[in-house]
Amino acid sequence: MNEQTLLLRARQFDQQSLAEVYDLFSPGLYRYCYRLLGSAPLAEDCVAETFSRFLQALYQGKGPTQFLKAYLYRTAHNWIIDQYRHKASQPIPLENAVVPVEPNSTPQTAETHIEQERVRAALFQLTPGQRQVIMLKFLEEWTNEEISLAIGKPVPAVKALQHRALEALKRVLLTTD
Amino acid sequence: MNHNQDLPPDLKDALNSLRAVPERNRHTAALRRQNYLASIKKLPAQARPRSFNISPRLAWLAAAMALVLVMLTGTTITAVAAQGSLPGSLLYPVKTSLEDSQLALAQNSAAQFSLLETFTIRRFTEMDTLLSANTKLPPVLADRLETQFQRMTALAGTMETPGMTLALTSLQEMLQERERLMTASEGHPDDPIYAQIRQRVREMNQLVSAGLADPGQYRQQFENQNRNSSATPNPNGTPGVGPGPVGPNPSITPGDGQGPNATPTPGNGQEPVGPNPSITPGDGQGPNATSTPGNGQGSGGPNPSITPGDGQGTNATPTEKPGATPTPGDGHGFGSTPTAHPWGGKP
Repeated sequence: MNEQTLLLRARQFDQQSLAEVYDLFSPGLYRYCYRLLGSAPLAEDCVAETFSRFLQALYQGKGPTQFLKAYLYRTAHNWIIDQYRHKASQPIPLENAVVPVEPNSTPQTAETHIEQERVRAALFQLTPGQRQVIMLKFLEEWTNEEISLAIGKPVPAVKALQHRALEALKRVLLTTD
Repeated sequence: MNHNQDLPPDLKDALNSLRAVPERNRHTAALRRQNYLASIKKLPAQARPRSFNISPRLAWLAAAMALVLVMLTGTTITAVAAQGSLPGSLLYPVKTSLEDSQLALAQNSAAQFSLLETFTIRRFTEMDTLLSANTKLPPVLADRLETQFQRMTALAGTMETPGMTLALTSLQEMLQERERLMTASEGHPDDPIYAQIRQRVREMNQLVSAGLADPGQYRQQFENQNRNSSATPNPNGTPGVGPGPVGPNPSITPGDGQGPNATPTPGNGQEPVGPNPSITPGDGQGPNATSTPGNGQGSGGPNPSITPGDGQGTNATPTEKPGATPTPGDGHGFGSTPTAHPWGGKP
Protein backbone atom coordinates (compact mmCIF):
# COMPACT_ATOMS: atom_id res chain seq x y z
CA MET A 1 0.00 0.00 0.00
CA ASN A 2 1.51 3.32 -0.99
CA GLU A 3 1.60 6.40 1.21
CA GLN A 4 -1.33 8.16 -0.45
CA THR A 5 -3.65 5.15 -0.18
CA LEU A 6 -2.62 4.70 3.41
CA LEU A 7 -3.43 8.32 4.14
CA LEU A 8 -6.84 8.08 2.47
CA ARG A 9 -7.77 5.08 4.60
CA ALA A 10 -6.38 6.70 7.71
CA ARG A 11 -8.58 9.71 7.05
CA GLN A 12 -11.55 7.35 7.08
CA PHE A 13 -10.46 6.23 10.57
CA ASP A 14 -9.49 2.79 9.43
CA GLN A 15 -7.75 1.52 12.54
CA GLN A 16 -5.48 -0.87 10.67
CA SER A 17 -4.28 1.93 8.40
CA LEU A 18 -3.71 4.27 11.33
CA ALA A 19 -1.61 1.61 13.03
CA GLU A 20 0.35 1.09 9.80
CA VAL A 21 1.06 4.81 9.61
CA TYR A 22 2.57 4.64 13.06
CA ASP A 23 4.68 1.61 12.34
CA LEU A 24 5.91 3.07 9.08
CA PHE A 25 6.95 6.49 10.26
CA SER A 26 7.61 6.34 13.99
CA PRO A 27 11.15 4.83 13.80
CA GLY A 28 12.37 7.53 11.40
CA LEU A 29 10.63 10.23 13.39
CA TYR A 30 12.23 8.96 16.57
CA ARG A 31 15.70 9.23 15.02
CA TYR A 32 14.96 12.67 13.67
CA CYS A 33 13.75 13.86 17.06
CA TYR A 34 16.63 12.28 18.91
CA ARG A 35 19.22 13.88 16.65
CA LEU A 36 17.80 17.27 17.34
CA LEU A 37 16.93 16.79 20.98
CA GLY A 38 19.71 14.47 22.15
CA SER A 39 17.36 12.83 24.62
CA ALA A 40 15.58 9.48 24.28
CA PRO A 41 12.61 10.37 26.54
CA LEU A 42 12.16 13.70 24.75
CA ALA A 43 12.38 11.97 21.39
CA GLU A 44 9.67 9.51 22.51
CA ASP A 45 7.54 12.42 23.68
CA CYS A 46 8.07 14.13 20.35
CA VAL A 47 6.93 11.05 18.41
CA ALA A 48 3.92 10.54 20.65
CA GLU A 49 2.91 14.20 20.38
CA THR A 50 3.36 14.19 16.61
CA PHE A 51 0.97 11.27 16.20
CA SER A 52 -1.41 12.70 18.73
CA ARG A 53 -1.61 15.96 16.75
CA PHE A 54 -2.09 13.93 13.58
CA LEU A 55 -5.06 12.07 15.07
CA GLN A 56 -6.52 15.27 16.48
CA ALA A 57 -6.29 16.94 13.08
CA LEU A 58 -8.07 14.03 11.42
CA TYR A 59 -10.72 14.10 14.14
CA GLN A 60 -11.39 17.76 13.39
CA GLY A 61 -11.63 17.08 9.67
CA LYS A 62 -8.29 18.76 9.07
CA GLY A 63 -4.87 17.19 8.64
CA PRO A 64 -3.01 16.22 5.50
CA THR A 65 -4.68 15.08 2.33
CA GLN A 66 -1.34 14.19 0.72
CA PHE A 67 2.38 14.04 1.53
CA LEU A 68 1.85 12.38 4.88
CA LYS A 69 5.57 11.95 5.60
CA ALA A 70 6.26 15.64 5.03
CA TYR A 71 3.35 16.51 7.30
CA LEU A 72 4.58 14.29 10.14
CA TYR A 73 8.14 15.63 10.03
CA ARG A 74 6.89 19.19 9.88
CA THR A 75 4.70 18.56 12.92
CA ALA A 76 7.61 16.99 14.78
CA HIS A 77 9.87 19.90 13.90
CA ASN A 78 7.30 22.39 15.16
CA TRP A 79 7.01 20.48 18.43
CA ILE A 80 10.80 20.58 18.83
CA ILE A 81 10.83 24.33 18.23
CA ASP A 82 8.15 24.76 20.88
CA GLN A 83 10.17 22.62 23.28
CA TYR A 84 13.31 24.58 22.59
CA ARG A 85 11.56 27.92 23.13
CA HIS A 86 10.00 26.66 26.33
CA LYS A 87 13.34 25.38 27.54
CA ALA A 88 15.11 28.61 26.60
CA SER A 89 12.59 30.70 28.51
CA GLN A 90 13.22 28.78 31.74
CA PRO A 91 16.30 29.16 33.93
CA ILE A 92 18.63 26.16 33.72
CA PRO A 93 19.09 24.38 37.05
CA LEU A 94 22.71 24.02 38.13
CA GLU A 95 22.69 20.24 37.78
CA ASN A 96 21.59 20.57 34.16
CA ALA A 97 24.10 23.27 33.32
CA VAL A 98 26.75 20.67 32.54
CA VAL A 99 26.40 18.28 29.64
CA PRO A 100 24.95 15.00 30.88
CA VAL A 101 27.21 12.09 30.21
CA GLU A 102 26.03 8.51 30.18
CA PRO A 103 27.20 6.48 33.14
CA ASN A 104 29.94 3.99 32.38
CA SER A 105 30.89 5.99 29.32
CA THR A 106 34.40 5.93 27.99
CA PRO A 107 36.34 9.12 27.37
CA GLN A 108 35.68 8.64 23.66
CA THR A 109 31.90 8.43 24.01
CA ALA A 110 31.96 11.41 26.34
CA GLU A 111 33.86 13.37 23.73
CA THR A 112 31.34 12.34 21.06
CA HIS A 113 28.54 13.41 23.32
CA ILE A 114 30.10 16.81 23.88
CA GLU A 115 30.58 17.24 20.15
CA GLN A 116 26.93 16.32 19.52
CA GLU A 117 25.77 18.91 22.00
CA ARG A 118 27.99 21.51 20.40
CA VAL A 119 26.54 20.80 16.95
CA ARG A 120 22.98 20.80 18.29
CA ALA A 121 23.59 24.11 19.98
CA ALA A 122 24.95 25.45 16.69
CA LEU A 123 21.92 24.12 14.81
CA PHE A 124 19.56 25.86 17.20
CA GLN A 125 21.26 29.14 16.40
CA LEU A 126 20.04 28.82 12.83
CA THR A 127 16.58 29.81 11.71
CA PRO A 128 13.99 27.01 11.95
CA GLY A 129 13.91 26.72 8.16
CA GLN A 130 17.69 26.50 7.85
CA ARG A 131 17.86 23.92 10.63
CA GLN A 132 15.12 21.84 9.06
CA VAL A 133 16.80 21.84 5.66
CA ILE A 134 20.11 20.71 7.11
CA MET A 135 18.52 17.97 9.20
CA LEU A 136 16.37 16.60 6.39
CA LYS A 137 19.00 16.88 3.69
CA PHE A 138 22.19 15.75 5.40
CA LEU A 139 20.92 13.51 8.20
CA GLU A 140 17.61 12.14 6.92
CA GLU A 141 18.88 12.06 3.34
CA TRP A 142 15.79 13.61 1.79
CA THR A 143 15.76 14.98 -1.72
CA ASN A 144 15.18 18.67 -2.38
CA GLU A 145 11.70 17.85 -3.70
CA GLU A 146 10.77 16.05 -0.48
CA ILE A 147 12.14 18.90 1.59
CA SER A 148 10.18 21.41 -0.48
CA LEU A 149 6.99 19.53 0.42
CA ALA A 150 7.91 19.42 4.10
CA ILE A 151 8.70 23.10 4.44
CA GLY A 152 6.20 24.34 1.88
CA LYS A 153 8.71 26.15 -0.31
CA PRO A 154 9.76 25.61 -3.93
CA VAL A 155 12.89 23.67 -4.73
CA PRO A 156 15.00 26.72 -5.71
CA ALA A 157 14.09 28.27 -2.36
CA VAL A 158 15.14 25.06 -0.65
CA LYS A 159 18.51 25.21 -2.41
CA ALA A 160 19.02 28.81 -1.45
CA LEU A 161 18.01 28.05 2.10
CA GLN A 162 20.42 25.13 2.21
CA HIS A 163 23.25 27.33 0.99
CA ARG A 164 22.60 29.99 3.61
CA ALA A 165 22.13 27.32 6.29
CA LEU A 166 25.53 25.75 5.60
CA GLU A 167 27.21 29.14 5.62
CA ALA A 168 25.57 30.05 8.89
CA LEU A 169 26.35 26.71 10.49
CA LYS A 170 29.98 26.94 9.44
CA ARG A 171 30.21 30.42 10.87
CA VAL A 172 28.64 29.37 14.18
CA LEU A 173 30.73 26.23 14.57
CA LEU A 174 33.98 27.97 13.72
CA THR A 175 33.18 30.79 16.13
CA THR A 176 32.57 28.38 18.97
CA ASP A 177 35.73 26.38 18.24
CA MET B 1 20.92 8.82 -1.13
CA ASN B 2 23.94 10.35 0.53
CA HIS B 3 24.23 14.10 0.24
CA ASN B 4 27.46 14.29 2.18
CA GLN B 5 29.35 15.18 -0.97
CA ASP B 6 27.51 18.51 -0.91
CA LEU B 7 28.84 19.20 2.56
CA PRO B 8 31.94 21.26 3.13
CA PRO B 9 34.62 19.08 4.78
CA ASP B 10 34.65 21.04 8.00
CA LEU B 11 30.90 20.51 8.44
CA LYS B 12 30.82 16.88 7.39
CA ASP B 13 32.34 15.56 10.62
CA ALA B 14 30.26 17.88 12.76
CA LEU B 15 26.96 16.76 11.27
CA ASN B 16 28.00 13.13 11.11
CA SER B 17 28.39 13.22 14.86
CA LEU B 18 24.61 13.47 15.04
CA ARG B 19 23.99 10.59 12.68
CA ALA B 20 24.41 7.87 15.26
CA VAL B 21 21.26 7.33 17.29
CA PRO B 22 21.23 4.89 20.21
CA GLU B 23 18.89 1.97 19.90
CA ARG B 24 15.37 2.81 20.88
CA ASN B 25 14.16 1.30 24.11
CA ARG B 26 11.86 -1.46 22.92
CA HIS B 27 9.75 -1.48 26.02
CA THR B 28 9.15 2.27 25.84
CA ALA B 29 8.47 2.09 22.13
CA ALA B 30 5.92 -0.71 22.64
CA LEU B 31 4.24 1.22 25.42
CA ARG B 32 3.97 4.34 23.27
CA ARG B 33 2.56 2.33 20.42
CA GLN B 34 -0.07 0.84 22.71
CA ASN B 35 -1.06 4.30 23.84
CA TYR B 36 -1.39 5.41 20.24
CA LEU B 37 -3.54 2.41 19.31
CA ALA B 38 -5.73 3.02 22.36
CA SER B 39 -6.29 6.60 21.30
CA ILE B 40 -7.25 5.40 17.81
CA LYS B 41 -9.95 3.18 19.30
CA LYS B 42 -11.42 6.13 21.15
CA LEU B 43 -11.97 7.96 17.89
CA PRO B 44 -15.49 7.95 16.45
CA ALA B 45 -16.17 6.31 13.15
CA GLN B 46 -16.77 9.66 11.51
CA ALA B 47 -14.75 12.80 11.70
CA ARG B 48 -16.16 15.35 14.05
CA PRO B 49 -17.64 18.35 12.29
CA ARG B 50 -15.43 21.39 12.60
CA SER B 51 -18.11 23.61 13.96
CA PHE B 52 -18.39 21.47 17.09
CA ASN B 53 -14.85 22.30 17.91
CA ILE B 54 -15.64 25.96 18.64
CA SER B 55 -15.01 26.92 22.22
CA PRO B 56 -18.01 28.20 24.21
CA ARG B 57 -16.61 31.73 24.28
CA LEU B 58 -16.16 31.72 20.52
CA ALA B 59 -19.63 30.28 20.11
CA TRP B 60 -21.11 33.16 22.12
CA LEU B 61 -19.13 35.65 20.11
CA ALA B 62 -20.27 34.08 16.86
CA ALA B 63 -23.89 34.10 18.06
CA ALA B 64 -23.66 37.76 19.08
CA MET B 65 -22.10 38.71 15.77
CA ALA B 66 -24.77 36.79 13.89
CA LEU B 67 -27.47 38.60 15.87
CA VAL B 68 -25.96 41.99 15.14
CA LEU B 69 -25.66 41.05 11.48
CA VAL B 70 -29.30 39.98 11.34
CA MET B 71 -30.39 43.20 13.04
CA LEU B 72 -28.30 45.36 10.74
CA THR B 73 -29.44 43.50 7.66
CA GLY B 74 -33.04 43.62 8.83
CA THR B 75 -32.83 47.35 9.52
CA THR B 76 -31.26 48.00 6.15
CA ILE B 77 -33.86 45.93 4.34
CA THR B 78 -36.65 47.70 6.21
CA ALA B 79 -35.17 51.12 5.44
CA VAL B 80 -34.82 50.30 1.76
CA ALA B 81 -38.32 48.85 1.61
CA ALA B 82 -39.71 51.92 3.40
CA GLN B 83 -38.38 54.23 0.69
CA GLY B 84 -41.11 53.09 -1.65
CA SER B 85 -43.88 53.21 0.92
CA LEU B 86 -46.88 55.51 0.63
CA PRO B 87 -48.77 57.43 3.31
CA GLY B 88 -51.02 55.11 5.22
CA SER B 89 -48.84 52.09 4.69
CA LEU B 90 -47.13 50.20 7.50
CA LEU B 91 -43.63 51.31 6.57
CA TYR B 92 -44.46 54.97 6.01
CA PRO B 93 -43.49 56.01 9.55
CA VAL B 94 -40.07 54.43 8.91
CA LYS B 95 -39.73 56.56 5.81
CA THR B 96 -40.63 59.77 7.62
CA SER B 97 -38.38 58.87 10.54
CA LEU B 98 -35.49 58.44 8.13
CA GLU B 99 -36.26 61.85 6.68
CA ASP B 100 -36.26 63.35 10.17
CA SER B 101 -32.89 61.74 10.82
CA GLN B 102 -31.54 63.19 7.60
CA LEU B 103 -32.78 66.61 8.65
CA ALA B 104 -31.20 66.26 12.07
CA LEU B 105 -27.89 65.48 10.43
CA ALA B 106 -28.01 68.41 8.02
CA GLN B 107 -25.29 70.87 8.91
CA ASN B 108 -26.97 74.22 8.35
CA SER B 109 -30.23 75.93 7.58
CA ALA B 110 -29.63 75.95 3.85
CA ALA B 111 -29.01 72.20 3.82
CA GLN B 112 -32.11 71.62 5.91
CA PHE B 113 -34.17 73.81 3.63
CA SER B 114 -32.94 71.96 0.59
CA LEU B 115 -33.80 68.62 2.19
CA LEU B 116 -37.24 69.86 3.14
CA GLU B 117 -37.84 70.93 -0.44
CA THR B 118 -36.89 67.45 -1.58
CA PHE B 119 -39.22 65.90 0.97
CA THR B 120 -42.03 68.23 -0.06
CA ILE B 121 -41.65 67.18 -3.67
CA ARG B 122 -41.72 63.62 -2.39
CA ARG B 123 -45.01 64.30 -0.60
CA PHE B 124 -46.52 65.70 -3.79
CA THR B 125 -45.34 62.63 -5.69
CA GLU B 126 -46.90 60.40 -3.06
CA MET B 127 -50.10 62.36 -3.42
CA ASP B 128 -50.06 61.93 -7.21
CA THR B 129 -49.41 58.21 -6.84
CA LEU B 130 -52.27 57.74 -4.42
CA LEU B 131 -54.65 59.77 -6.55
CA SER B 132 -53.73 57.92 -9.71
CA ALA B 133 -54.59 54.71 -7.87
CA ASN B 134 -57.95 56.25 -6.87
CA THR B 135 -56.96 56.05 -3.23
CA LYS B 136 -58.25 58.60 -0.78
CA LEU B 137 -55.49 60.76 0.64
CA PRO B 138 -54.79 59.95 4.27
CA PRO B 139 -54.59 62.83 6.77
CA VAL B 140 -51.00 61.87 7.58
CA LEU B 141 -49.95 63.19 4.19
CA ALA B 142 -51.49 66.60 4.87
CA ASP B 143 -50.00 66.65 8.37
CA ARG B 144 -46.56 65.84 7.11
CA LEU B 145 -46.78 68.40 4.34
CA GLU B 146 -47.92 71.05 6.77
CA THR B 147 -45.04 70.33 9.13
CA GLN B 148 -42.62 70.66 6.24
CA PHE B 149 -44.18 73.94 5.11
CA GLN B 150 -43.85 75.33 8.61
CA ARG B 151 -40.26 74.26 8.95
CA MET B 152 -39.35 75.72 5.60
CA THR B 153 -40.95 79.09 6.29
CA ALA B 154 -39.31 79.17 9.71
CA LEU B 155 -35.91 78.21 8.35
CA ALA B 156 -36.10 80.88 5.68
CA GLY B 157 -36.80 83.40 8.44
CA THR B 158 -33.54 82.55 10.14
CA MET B 159 -31.43 83.12 7.02
CA GLU B 160 -29.61 86.22 5.89
CA THR B 161 -31.41 88.16 3.20
CA PRO B 162 -29.59 86.72 0.16
CA GLY B 163 -30.03 83.15 1.43
CA MET B 164 -33.61 83.79 2.39
CA THR B 165 -34.42 85.25 -1.01
CA LEU B 166 -32.81 82.30 -2.71
CA ALA B 167 -34.67 79.81 -0.53
CA LEU B 168 -38.03 81.51 -0.87
CA THR B 169 -37.62 81.91 -4.62
CA SER B 170 -36.90 78.22 -4.94
CA LEU B 171 -39.87 77.36 -2.77
CA GLN B 172 -42.07 79.75 -4.70
CA GLU B 173 -41.16 78.08 -7.98
CA MET B 174 -42.06 74.70 -6.58
CA LEU B 175 -45.31 75.89 -5.08
CA GLN B 176 -46.35 77.80 -8.19
CA GLU B 177 -45.72 74.77 -10.32
CA ARG B 178 -47.73 72.60 -7.95
CA GLU B 179 -50.55 75.13 -7.81
CA ARG B 180 -50.59 75.30 -11.58
CA LEU B 181 -50.82 71.51 -11.80
CA MET B 182 -53.57 71.34 -9.23
CA THR B 183 -55.51 74.09 -10.93
CA ALA B 184 -55.06 72.55 -14.36
CA SER B 185 -56.33 69.18 -13.25
CA GLU B 186 -59.97 68.71 -12.58
CA GLY B 187 -59.15 68.03 -8.98
CA HIS B 188 -60.70 65.57 -6.67
CA PRO B 189 -63.64 67.36 -5.14
CA ASP B 190 -64.68 64.32 -3.19
CA ASP B 191 -61.37 64.18 -1.40
CA PRO B 192 -61.25 66.67 1.48
CA ILE B 193 -57.53 66.19 2.09
CA TYR B 194 -56.81 67.04 -1.51
CA ALA B 195 -58.84 70.21 -1.18
CA GLN B 196 -57.00 71.15 1.97
CA ILE B 197 -53.62 70.59 0.38
CA ARG B 198 -54.63 72.66 -2.58
CA GLN B 199 -55.74 75.46 -0.31
CA ARG B 200 -52.51 75.29 1.67
CA VAL B 201 -50.40 75.40 -1.44
CA ARG B 202 -52.19 78.54 -2.50
CA GLU B 203 -51.74 80.10 0.93
CA MET B 204 -48.11 79.16 1.08
CA ASN B 205 -47.62 80.74 -2.32
CA GLN B 206 -49.04 83.99 -1.02
CA LEU B 207 -46.96 83.83 2.12
CA VAL B 208 -43.77 83.25 0.19
CA SER B 209 -44.61 86.08 -2.18
CA ALA B 210 -45.05 88.38 0.78
CA GLY B 211 -41.73 87.24 2.20
CA LEU B 212 -40.00 87.96 -1.08
CA ALA B 213 -41.59 91.38 -1.22
CA ASP B 214 -40.26 92.36 2.19
CA PRO B 215 -37.61 90.02 3.56
CA GLY B 216 -36.92 92.29 6.52
CA GLN B 217 -40.47 92.19 7.72
CA TYR B 218 -40.57 88.45 7.13
CA ARG B 219 -37.46 87.89 9.23
CA GLN B 220 -38.63 90.20 11.99
CA GLN B 221 -41.82 88.27 12.25
CA PHE B 222 -39.89 85.05 12.78
CA GLU B 223 -37.62 86.64 15.30
CA ASN B 224 -40.66 87.71 17.29
CA GLN B 225 -42.04 84.27 16.91
CA ASN B 226 -38.81 82.70 18.16
CA ARG B 227 -38.77 85.02 21.15
CA ASN B 228 -42.28 83.99 21.99
CA SER B 229 -41.57 80.34 21.58
CA SER B 230 -38.39 80.56 23.65
CA ALA B 231 -40.43 82.11 26.45
CA THR B 232 -42.68 79.09 26.47
CA PRO B 233 -40.45 76.10 26.13
CA ASN B 234 -41.83 73.21 24.25
CA PRO B 235 -42.17 70.29 26.62
CA ASN B 236 -42.03 67.85 23.75
CA GLY B 237 -38.68 69.08 22.71
CA THR B 238 -39.92 69.48 19.20
CA PRO B 239 -37.94 72.20 17.56
CA GLY B 240 -40.00 75.28 17.02
CA VAL B 241 -40.59 75.12 13.41
CA GLY B 242 -41.74 78.57 12.81
CA PRO B 243 -44.64 80.73 12.64
CA GLY B 244 -47.36 78.32 13.27
CA PRO B 245 -49.96 77.37 10.84
CA VAL B 246 -50.79 79.84 8.28
CA GLY B 247 -54.43 80.03 7.72
CA PRO B 248 -57.70 80.61 9.35
CA ASN B 249 -57.18 80.08 12.99
CA PRO B 250 -60.37 79.65 14.89
CA SER B 251 -58.86 81.33 17.90
CA ILE B 252 -58.36 84.45 15.96
CA THR B 253 -61.19 86.79 15.19
CA PRO B 254 -60.50 87.91 11.75
CA GLY B 255 -61.76 91.16 10.57
CA ASP B 256 -62.43 94.02 12.83
CA GLY B 257 -65.67 95.08 11.30
CA GLN B 258 -65.24 98.56 12.58
CA GLY B 259 -68.35 100.58 12.61
CA PRO B 260 -68.60 104.17 13.65
CA ASN B 261 -68.70 103.37 17.31
CA ALA B 262 -66.10 100.82 17.17
CA THR B 263 -62.78 101.60 18.57
CA PRO B 264 -60.49 101.56 15.64
CA THR B 265 -58.14 98.88 16.69
CA PRO B 266 -55.27 98.55 14.35
CA GLY B 267 -54.76 95.06 13.31
CA ASN B 268 -57.15 92.29 13.40
CA GLY B 269 -55.43 89.80 15.50
CA GLN B 270 -53.46 88.44 12.64
CA GLU B 271 -49.81 89.02 12.64
CA PRO B 272 -48.65 91.30 9.91
CA VAL B 273 -46.93 89.91 6.97
CA GLY B 274 -45.64 93.18 5.85
CA PRO B 275 -46.69 96.29 4.23
CA ASN B 276 -49.01 95.40 1.50
CA PRO B 277 -50.21 98.72 0.21
CA SER B 278 -52.88 97.19 -1.90
CA ILE B 279 -54.65 95.86 1.11
CA THR B 280 -56.77 97.99 3.30
CA PRO B 281 -57.80 96.30 6.44
CA GLY B 282 -61.42 96.05 7.19
CA ASP B 283 -63.02 99.36 6.81
CA GLY B 284 -66.52 98.62 7.94
CA GLN B 285 -68.00 101.26 5.72
CA GLY B 286 -71.55 102.12 6.32
CA PRO B 287 -74.21 100.27 8.05
CA ASN B 288 -75.37 98.38 5.08
CA ALA B 289 -72.12 97.93 3.45
CA THR B 290 -71.06 94.45 2.73
CA SER B 291 -67.79 94.87 4.28
CA THR B 292 -64.99 92.44 4.20
CA PRO B 293 -63.74 92.95 7.61
CA GLY B 294 -60.10 92.29 7.98
CA ASN B 295 -58.43 90.21 5.41
CA GLY B 296 -55.73 89.08 7.70
CA GLN B 297 -53.01 90.36 5.52
CA GLY B 298 -51.56 92.25 8.35
CA SER B 299 -52.85 95.53 9.36
CA GLY B 300 -51.33 96.00 12.71
CA GLY B 301 -47.75 96.57 11.77
CA PRO B 302 -46.04 99.79 12.39
CA ASN B 303 -46.31 100.72 8.82
CA PRO B 304 -47.73 104.14 8.57
CA SER B 305 -48.85 103.57 5.04
CA ILE B 306 -51.48 101.26 6.25
CA THR B 307 -54.54 102.79 7.68
CA PRO B 308 -56.19 100.63 10.19
CA GLY B 309 -59.88 100.39 10.37
CA ASP B 310 -61.21 103.85 10.01
CA GLY B 311 -64.50 103.36 11.70
CA GLN B 312 -66.53 105.08 9.05
CA GLY B 313 -70.22 104.77 9.02
CA THR B 314 -72.75 105.16 11.67
CA ASN B 315 -74.02 102.79 14.21
CA ALA B 316 -72.45 100.03 12.34
CA THR B 317 -71.93 96.98 14.32
CA PRO B 318 -70.37 94.72 11.84
CA THR B 319 -71.30 91.52 13.47
CA GLU B 320 -74.91 92.57 13.63
CA LYS B 321 -75.11 94.40 10.39
CA PRO B 322 -77.99 93.20 8.33
CA GLY B 323 -76.77 91.75 5.15
CA ALA B 324 -73.21 91.94 6.12
CA THR B 325 -71.31 88.88 5.29
CA PRO B 326 -68.17 89.08 7.22
CA THR B 327 -65.63 86.95 5.51
CA PRO B 328 -62.96 85.89 7.85
CA GLY B 329 -59.48 86.86 6.98
CA ASP B 330 -57.68 84.40 4.89
CA GLY B 331 -55.08 84.05 7.51
CA HIS B 332 -51.97 84.78 5.58
CA GLY B 333 -50.31 86.26 8.58
CA PHE B 334 -47.89 84.23 10.64
CA GLY B 335 -49.10 85.20 14.01
CA SER B 336 -51.35 82.40 14.80
CA THR B 337 -50.65 80.03 17.59
CA PRO B 338 -48.10 77.45 16.60
CA THR B 339 -50.04 74.67 18.19
CA ALA B 340 -53.12 75.31 16.16
CA HIS B 341 -53.54 73.26 13.08
CA PRO B 342 -55.11 74.81 10.07
CA TRP B 343 -56.84 71.64 8.99
CA GLY B 344 -58.12 70.73 12.34
CA GLY B 345 -55.78 67.82 12.47
CA LYS B 346 -52.92 67.22 14.76
CA PRO B 347 -50.54 70.10 15.13
